[in-house]
Formats: sequence, structure tokens, C-alpha cells
Amino acid sequence: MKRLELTLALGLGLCPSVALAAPAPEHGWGLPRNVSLHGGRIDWLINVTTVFVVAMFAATVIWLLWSSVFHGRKHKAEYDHGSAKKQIIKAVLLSLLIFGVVDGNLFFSGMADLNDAFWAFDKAEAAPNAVRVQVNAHQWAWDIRHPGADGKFNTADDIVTFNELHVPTGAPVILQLASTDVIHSFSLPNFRTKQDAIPGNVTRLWFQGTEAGEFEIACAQHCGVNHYKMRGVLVVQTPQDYQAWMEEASKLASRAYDPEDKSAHWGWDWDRKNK
Amino acid sequence: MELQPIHPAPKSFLGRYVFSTDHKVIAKQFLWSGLLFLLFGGLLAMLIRWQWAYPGRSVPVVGQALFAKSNGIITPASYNAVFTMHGLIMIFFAITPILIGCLGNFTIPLMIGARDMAFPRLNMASFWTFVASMCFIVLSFFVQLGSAAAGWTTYPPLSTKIGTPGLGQTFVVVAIFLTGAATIMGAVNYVTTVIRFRAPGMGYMRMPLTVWGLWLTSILNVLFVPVLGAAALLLFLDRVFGTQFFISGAAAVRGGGDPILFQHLFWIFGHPEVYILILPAWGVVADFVSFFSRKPAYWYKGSVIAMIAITVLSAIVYGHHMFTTGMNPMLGKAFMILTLIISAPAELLFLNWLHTIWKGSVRLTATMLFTLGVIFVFALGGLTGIYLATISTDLYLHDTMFVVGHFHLTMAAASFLASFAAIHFWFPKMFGRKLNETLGKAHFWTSLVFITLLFVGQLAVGYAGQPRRLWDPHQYTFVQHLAPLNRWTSYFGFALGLSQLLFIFNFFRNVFAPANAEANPWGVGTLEWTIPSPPPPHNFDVIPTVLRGPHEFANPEVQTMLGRDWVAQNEVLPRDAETPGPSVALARGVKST
Amino acid sequence: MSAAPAPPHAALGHGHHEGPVSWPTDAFMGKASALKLGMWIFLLSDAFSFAGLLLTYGILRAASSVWHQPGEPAFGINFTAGLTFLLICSSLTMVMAVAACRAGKRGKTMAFLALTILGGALFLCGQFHEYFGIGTHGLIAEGLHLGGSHRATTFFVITSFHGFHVFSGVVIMSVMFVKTARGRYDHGNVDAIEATGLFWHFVDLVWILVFTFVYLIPEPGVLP
Ligand code: HEA
Ligand code: HEA
Ligand code: CUA
Ligand SMILES: [Cu+2]
Repeated sequence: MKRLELTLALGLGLCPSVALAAPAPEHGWGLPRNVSLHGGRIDWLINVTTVFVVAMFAATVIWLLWSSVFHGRKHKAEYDHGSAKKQIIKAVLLSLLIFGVVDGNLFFSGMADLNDAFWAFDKAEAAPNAVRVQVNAHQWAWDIRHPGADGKFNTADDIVTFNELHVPTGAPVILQLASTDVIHSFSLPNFRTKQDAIPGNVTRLWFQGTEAGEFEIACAQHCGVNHYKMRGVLVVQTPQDYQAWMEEASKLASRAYDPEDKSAHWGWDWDRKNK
Repeated sequence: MELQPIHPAPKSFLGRYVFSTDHKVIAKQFLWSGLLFLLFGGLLAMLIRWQWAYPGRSVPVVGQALFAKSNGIITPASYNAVFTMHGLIMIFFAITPILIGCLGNFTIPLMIGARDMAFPRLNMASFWTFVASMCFIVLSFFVQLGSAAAGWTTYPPLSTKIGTPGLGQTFVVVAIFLTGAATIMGAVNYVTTVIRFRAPGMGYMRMPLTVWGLWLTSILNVLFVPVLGAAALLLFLDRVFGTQFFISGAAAVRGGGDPILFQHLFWIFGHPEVYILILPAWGVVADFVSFFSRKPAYWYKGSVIAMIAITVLSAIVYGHHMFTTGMNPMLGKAFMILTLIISAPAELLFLNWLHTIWKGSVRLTATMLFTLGVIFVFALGGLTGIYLATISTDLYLHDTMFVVGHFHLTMAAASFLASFAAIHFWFPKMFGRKLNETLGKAHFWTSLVFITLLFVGQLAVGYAGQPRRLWDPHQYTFVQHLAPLNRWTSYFGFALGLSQLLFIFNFFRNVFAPANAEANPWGVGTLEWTIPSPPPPHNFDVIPTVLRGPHEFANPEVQTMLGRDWVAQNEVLPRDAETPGPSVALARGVKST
Repeated sequence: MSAAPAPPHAALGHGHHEGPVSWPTDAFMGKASALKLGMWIFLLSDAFSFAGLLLTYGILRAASSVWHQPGEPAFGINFTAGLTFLLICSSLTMVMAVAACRAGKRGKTMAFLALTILGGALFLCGQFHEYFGIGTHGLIAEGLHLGGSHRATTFFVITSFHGFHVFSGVVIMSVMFVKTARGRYDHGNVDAIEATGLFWHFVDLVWILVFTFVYLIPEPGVLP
């Protein structure tokens, strides 16, 4: 099957771009460059968490140092069980306060992220310009299927690519993922999201690119010997470029279509959530 | 009413040291096994770090012997076995035997004033089942295709014949099943012992927090290890008898099974497991901060309540390991809120420790240093957990090195350092000799510095997105710029490995040397310090009657009466000894918590 | 200053008694002996291993479109109902054995233990017959194979795991029988037999769950 996809890709004249695909390296210590509409939300929440964490950690360290230095051997220990009502109320209130502020913030921001963005599949599906793609993972590559002009999967005009996913900027891209053999995980670090691809299951992921460029697809779930190089490339194009690529690719697609070859038709109906 | 008769001590070598039913001997057996496998797991960790410092370069010194076929280079296939076995060994065969097998066996009967465990022969059976399990682990390295390589989480279908056809993976599944059986035997024993064998007066609210931690851990073991056993059994059938519980996709017949089902079973056990590894550590930390600040534990009851709350919650948060499996969104969100709730009792517990050392009279012995070290690294480890608990940030951080950094700070730093704190503290009771304090402190400082640098290094590359379990992470363009950071992290790892030599030296210099420790070298009032070091086989000539809690330090009345800042849990104060009945003494006795 | 409650046996610590004290009897756990308590805790643990298997069964069955594959035999519900009845009866005789032991009647204890052992052994024979067939075809010969389908696999795994428990119970009870014969449990020393009884009732109880799930719940639209 792998060999077949490869020939398909070659036939489609896509291989040169695989060779050319060279995402730019990252720099510095921080998060990878964010190129997605919603990635900023994650970055913001991570930073907020970091502020809380640093504050609490600093308080802890100062407390530890202070007591070790100033309440050392020479200091007379207080006889205090800390079980007076006032002390208990203080301790409980303090931890509830920390909990309320920190975890409360995380909870509500996290929920908003999911409901408004990362798990808002209905919103993405409803967009008129939504792009739908199916991805089948196997050891150790990504097969990618665009529905072609008819908008239906597993038909003659499907565009099938290998380890390379083309998407336009400014449109929600909805992926349906499956796997042939073991569990993989489709991860887009520059988009701050990932989703497992599970044999016998169809899972979903959506994102929206904001700038053209090439970015990496990583396999995040341990999937065997070559897990470390199960790498794909996400090519984000301007809508015009994407349109041009699409037209070129569909022409080649129908030419390469072979109705006899069952294993090439791994796609599924979009509506059917389970294979 | 039960009898705890004094049995004659066994005379033969076998009865005394090998097939012993004495909880103190079994504790030592677990300690030796645990330390041996800690060394083993640590060496595997060094291989991981070598590979990430110099991907694809042959391993110096041991390379030719270990990886003869590939000219000393760790191949991708071997690498998978290395990190898988590193994780499994550290969790099941290093930290578990040290913290639960050794510490639990040694301290529970001594601290509650019992002569042995409730079921001494079951205790022995537990250890020997564990030995059988260790044999399978060792054997797995010598069969064709090598040891298990599907990650410590052993997710199918990768862990079925589809992904790992070798016999090694099967052996490891068997080993997990056996060690599970051993753990359950031990846990049934511990739970029963604490309920039934507490000495007169040792109410639940007078138990040392160490015992509380170990007891709650054992309860989790009793309840959730069987689920792991069931999962291991089914996986074994899939591998050996061609069933299809967890196989799906192209290899499945008639629709196949459900790979995610295994993840549910695994994490129903797996999440409690991580608290199983931390609760004993919390227990000893909570006791030691009091012992070495010479001050009562702050709000003892609060700490107990917090630990119970965490134990209960730990059973219902496991889904946070599966946020990216496409689980039902409602379910995912429920798991998120439950996970976040765990941090409330954790904070309370934490504040209690900090309050305990506040205004104390801190003695920075090696034990205390390790204890403070645990607090330091656990703060970092626990706090990084909340990034992962929030689903949206976990979508980015899941399966990156950030997760690896989080759990190393909690387990490999907090539980690891707590093991050393405990070993330093109870070494005199166990072997009749104190470990060298200077060496201990040197071991502490080097360990703390390098552990922090090492695991913060892991967090940093994870923050930048580096996925975990990669033979060569730098294949990814977006990870390439992290190569120097990975290399530095490796250097810190090697330094950490080397600093463990200080401990090994200290340990061997004292473990076989003649006993010379006093009965109570630390000035602590829990029951094990009221008997000689090391204790006689039956522990207590007379079962003690407990009069107060374990943390009665700095009591001004005691100070005037006895001229010292501590009082044993069963000590009758001179004032009370003169008065006729002990009940009167108790009524007027010092405040008990 | 909160005064500690005075423990009733506190004096024991001072008087130089030789050894045996265990106090206090637990407010929550009553006066159960360590053995009985340990057995309860073990059974709790064991219940979770069955729970793991039954959860697996439930999830696989709920997700399947066809549970009973064509060509696979139906389970003999009537026969198994008989086995179930047998097991329930053996629980009853176990109760009688414990009562007899408590009353210090060695002969009666042995008789009831023997009946219980007989019940367990017959159950195992019945299971053997069900699998392999004694005189007739067993389920295996009729085409039910481990790995053949989820229905077949879960059937074999769960019933044999239970069968293993029955077998262990029979072995333990046989040991108890011999020990009783030697007079170990005379004078109302009922602890060990009671703990064995707990195990046996548990095995019985679990069987009723297994019977319900694996045999009884019908598949909609398909004959059981
Ligand atoms: C000892 C082990 C241990 C402990 C204690 C914890 C504790 C916690 N863990 Fe961790 N965890 C692991 C071991 C552990 N974990 C392991 C092994 C894995 C990964 C397994 C794998 O995939 O291989 C993992 C993975 C893991 C995940 C899944 C990540 C992923 O795969 O994407 C999540 C997600 O929620 C999580 C969360 C938490 C939380 C919220 C806590 C909380 O309990 C933490 C609570 C503590 C605090 C909140 C800090 C204490 C409070 C303070 C410091 C405040 C003090 C305040 C002042 C001084 C002002 N953990
Ligand atoms: C408690 C558990 C524990 C402990 C202690 C450690 C300790 C260490 N771990 Fe481990 N690690 C895991 C549990 C643990 N780890 C798990 C569960 C995984 C995940 C596996 C998976 O993905 O499936 C993992 C994965 C993991 C990875 C990621 C691999 C990958 O994703 O590809 C890395 C990389 O840096 C790493 C490094 C280290 C290092 C450098 C140490 C160092 O701290 C080690 C230093 C210790 C020593 C060198 C031993 C010293 C010996 C003694 C003190 C004994 C003395 C003996 C006598 C006296 C006889 N570990
Ligand atoms: Cu595919 Cu990792
Ligand atoms: Cu968890």
C-alpha cells in the first residue's frame, strides 16, 4: 500500500514538492511560532499559568529559605499544633483562595478555548469555505485525501497525497483521522493542537491557518521503530495558490485513478463517524 | 482479641535471611532489589541521555558490549526498548519496592507498635512473587528482538504482535501481572495490619503520617492493581492466543476489538498508581518536617483529610491522560474539573508542611535536606501538572517532553528524593548504624542541583514542542535548535548519575559495618525509636500503650519535666507516674493531636 | 488542652504482661479477626479484577453490531441454571459448616464441608462438560473458539477465570477439611472456616453476575 501511494504521489507530480518542503527552523527558547487563528489562545493561557506557577513557586522557595535560615537551630520552636479554629480557617481559606483564583482561571479559559475554538466542530463544519480532508495514518506515514471537485470522498476525483497536506489560509480545515495499524497522533506544533489517529475509529481535528508557509506535522504517539521520523509537511497556501494547486492536482488525480485497486480506496463517507 | 505471640527467632541461614517472615528482613530484601533495579533503570536513563546528546553516536565504554550488532550505536529499535524498560523498571521495580515494599514493611509494624505484619507468610510470598517477576524482566532482555518496546503505557495495538512481535514484550506483560499479584498480597497485608494491629491507644489520629501515607497507598493498590491485572491478562491473551480484545484496523477480524478500552483499563489503574508512588513520600515528608523542625506537625488532621481527599479523587480523574483520544467532550470536561480539584487538597497539604517548618527550630540534617528538597521539586512538579489538567493547553503539551518533565519532577525527583530521606532516617534502625552525614549532604546538594537542571531541561524542550519517545528528536526541523539544550540536559543527567556514587559509597561503607547506633539518634518520639537499633525479631518485648500523637515537640511542660523537647508516644511523664491510675495520667496528659 | 480519651486497657502497657495484646478493636470494623478482615479486603480487590473483565465485556458487547456470530452455538442456559443452583446450594452448606464449627461439632462440620466441596467439584465437572462435552459435544466442538469472536472469547475468559476461583475454593476447603479432621478447629475456633466461607460466598455471588451478563442478557432480535 505504501508503495502504491508513493507511485500515486509521483504520478501526481507532487514528489518534487516533498523534497522541497522545508519548514523553517525555530529560534530561541519559547513556543514555536504560532501561525493559526486560535493558537494565540493557548499561548495566552500557558503564559497566564506560568505567571501563577512562578508566583506560587517563588512563594514556596522564599518560605523554605526563610524558615531554614531564620528559624534554624538557634530559633526556639513554637509549640503550635496549628489546630486552633482560627488557624484552620486561615489554612482552608488560603488554599481555597489559591485554588479559586488559579484553577478557576484555568477552568474558565480552558472551557472557552474548547467551546469557542478547538472543539467547536459545528462552527467549523458550518463555515461555507470549510476544507475537509481525510487522513489515514500507518507505520510510518500519513496518507491524505482531499475529496476533489465533487466534495465526496472515495470517488475518482479524490486527490491523494503522501505526507504532505495542502490547506488554504483563512478557511477552517477539518480533518478526519483513522489508522491502519497502531495508534498515531497527528500533531501540529505551530497550530498548538493534536489528535490521536486510532485504528477502527474516526477522530476529528480542526484548525485554521493565518499565514502561508510550510510547517511540520509530527507523530506524537509512540508507534514503533520509526516513530521518530513519521514526519509530514503542512503546506499552507494563499487561497489563490491553493486553488491553483487543487486544479492541477485534480487533473492528475483522475488520470491516476484505478477502480480495480481496492487498497487505494481507503477513504470513508464524511458523515459516517465510524468506519 | 488477637494474639501476637513472640515466636522464637529462626536459627538457620535460610530461615533468617532468605525465606524469612520477619517484616524487617523482608523490608531489607525489598530495599536491595529496589536499589539494584534503581541502578539498572538509572543506567538505562543514561543511555537515553547519551542518545539525545549525541544521536547515533556509539555509546562509550559499554556500547560494544550492549549493542554489538550495531557497533555500539543505540538503534531506533533498541532505543524503544531502553525508554520502555527505563520507565517500567523505575516505576514497578525501583520506586515501588523501595517506598512501599521496604518502607511499608519496615515502618508500619514498628510505628504502630506491632510485632509483625498481620500475615507474615503472605508477606514472604509477596516478596518471592516479586522475585519471579524480576526474573521475567531480566530474561526479557536476552530473548530475540529484545525486551518490551511499546512504552511503559503498553498501548495496543503497538503492544500486540502487530507492533512488537518479540517474546520480550510477552515476558514483560507476564512480569507486570506477577508484580501486580505481589503488590496486592502486600497491600492486603498492610491494610489489615493497620486496621487490626495498632497498639493500645494508637488511634487513627495518633498514627504517624508516614503510616497514613502508606496505608492510603495500600488501599489504592488493593483497589486498582487488579484492574491492571485484568488489562495485562487480556493483553497476554491477545499476544499469545490470538484473541482480539484490543486489536483493530487492518489486522482485525469481524470488526476487531477496541484499543481505547485498554487505555481506560490502564489509566483506571495508572492514575491512582502515580499517587501510590507519591503518598508514601508525602507521608514521610509530613513527619520529617515536624521531626526536624522540632515542632508539632501543623494541623495534623488537615493533612490526613487532604491525603484522604486526594486518595478518593485519584480514582476519578484518570481521563486526563486521554484528552486527545477523541473522548466525549462532556466527559473530557468533567475529567478536567476533577483533575483541577485535586490541586485544592494538594495545596492544603503543602501549606501544612510549610507552616510546620515556620517558626520551628530547623535542623538541616541529611534527612531534613532531602525532605526540603522534596518540597522544592514537588512544588515544581505538581504545579506543572495544572498546565496538563487544562484540556486546551494539554492539546499542545500532550505527549511532549513537558509531560515527561512533569512526571519526573513528581516521581523521579519527589519520590526519588523522599526515598533517600527515608533511607537516611531509618538506616540506623534498620542496620544499627547512621549513614555518614557529610556524604549524605554532599549527595543531597549534587542531586538536588542536577535533578532540577535535568528535569527543568526536559520541561523547557517540551515547552518548545519536542515530542517524547523520539530516537532522534532533531529529525524535526522545529526541534533542531534545541539540540544544544538537549545536550546540556544530558550533561546534567550524567552529573546526576555520577553524584549517586556518593550514595552508593556511603551505603556500602555502612551497611555491613558493625552496629553502633543509639536507640534514638534523632530524638524522635514515634514507637520504633523506643526499642533498640536494630530491633529484636519480635520488635516489642511489651506491646506499648500509646498516650499521645507522634509529633509532640517543643511542649513547654515536657521541657520542664524531662529537660528535652520531645517525648515518646508511649512515655509516661514523671508527674503522671506518681498518680495512681494511668487513666488519670491520660486525662491530665499532654495535648494529643 | 483537649484531654485524650482514656483507653480501657491502658494498664496493659505498664504491667509486665507477656505479649499478647491487640487493641483497640476497631470502631468501624467491629471485632472481626485479622484473617476475616484480610479476606474482606482481598475480596474487595478481587471484585475489581472481575469488574475489569466485566467492564471489558460490557464495552465490547455494547459496541458490537452482531454479538452472536452465525455458526456459533447457543449457551445451554438450562444446564447452567442447574449449575447456578448447585453453587447456591453449596453456599448454603458452607453456612451450615460454619455454624457447626462454631457450635464445636467436628463431625457435622466435616460433613457440611464435604458437601460444599462436592458442590464445587460438581460445578467444575459441569463446566468441563460445557466446554468439552462428556459423552456429547461440548461448546468447543460445536464451534465456539477462544479468539473466534468477542462473544466466544469473553465467554471463555470470564467463565474460566471464575472456574479458577471455584477450583481454588475447592482446594482451600479440602485443606480445611483435613485440618478439621485433625481437630484444629474444635472448640468453636471458627475463624479460618469463616474466612473460607466468605471466599466461597463471594465466588457464588460473582457467578450470579457472570451468569446474568454472559448467559442471560438476550441480544435484541437474535435468539439467545
Ligand atoms: C508521583 C507522580 C505524580 C503526581 C503526584 C502527579 C500529580 C499531578 N498530575 Fe501528573 N503525571 C504523572 C505522575 C504524577 N502526577 C505521570 C507518570 C504522568 C504521565 C504518564 C505518561 O504519559 O507516561 C502524568 C501525567 C499527567 C497528565 C496527563 C498529561 C498528558 O499526557 O498530556 C496530567 C493532566 O492532567 C497530570 C496532572 C497532574 C495533576 C493536576 C497533579 C496534581 O496532583 C498536582 C497537585 C499539586 C500541586 C497543585 C502543587 C502543590 C501546591 C503548591 C505548590 C501551592 C503552594 C502555594 C503557595 C506556597 C502559595 N499528570
Ligand atoms: C520513578 C520513576 C523514574 C525515575 C527515578 C527516572 C529517572 C530518570 N529518568 Fe526517566 N522515565 C520514567 C520514570 C523515571 N525516570 C518514565 C515512566 C518514563 C516514560 C517511559 C515511556 O515513555 O514509556 C521515563 C522517560 C524518560 C525520558 C524520556 C524518554 C523518551 O521520551 O524518549 C528521559 C529522557 O531524558 C528520562 C531520563 C531520566 C533520567 C536522566 C533519570 C535520572 O534521574 C536517573 C538517575 C538515577 C541513577 C543514575 C540511579 C542511581 C542509582 C542508585 C542511587 C542506586 C544505588 C544502588 C545501590 C546502593 C546498590 N526518563
Ligand atoms: Cu506514528 Cu508515532
Ligand atoms: Cu494522572
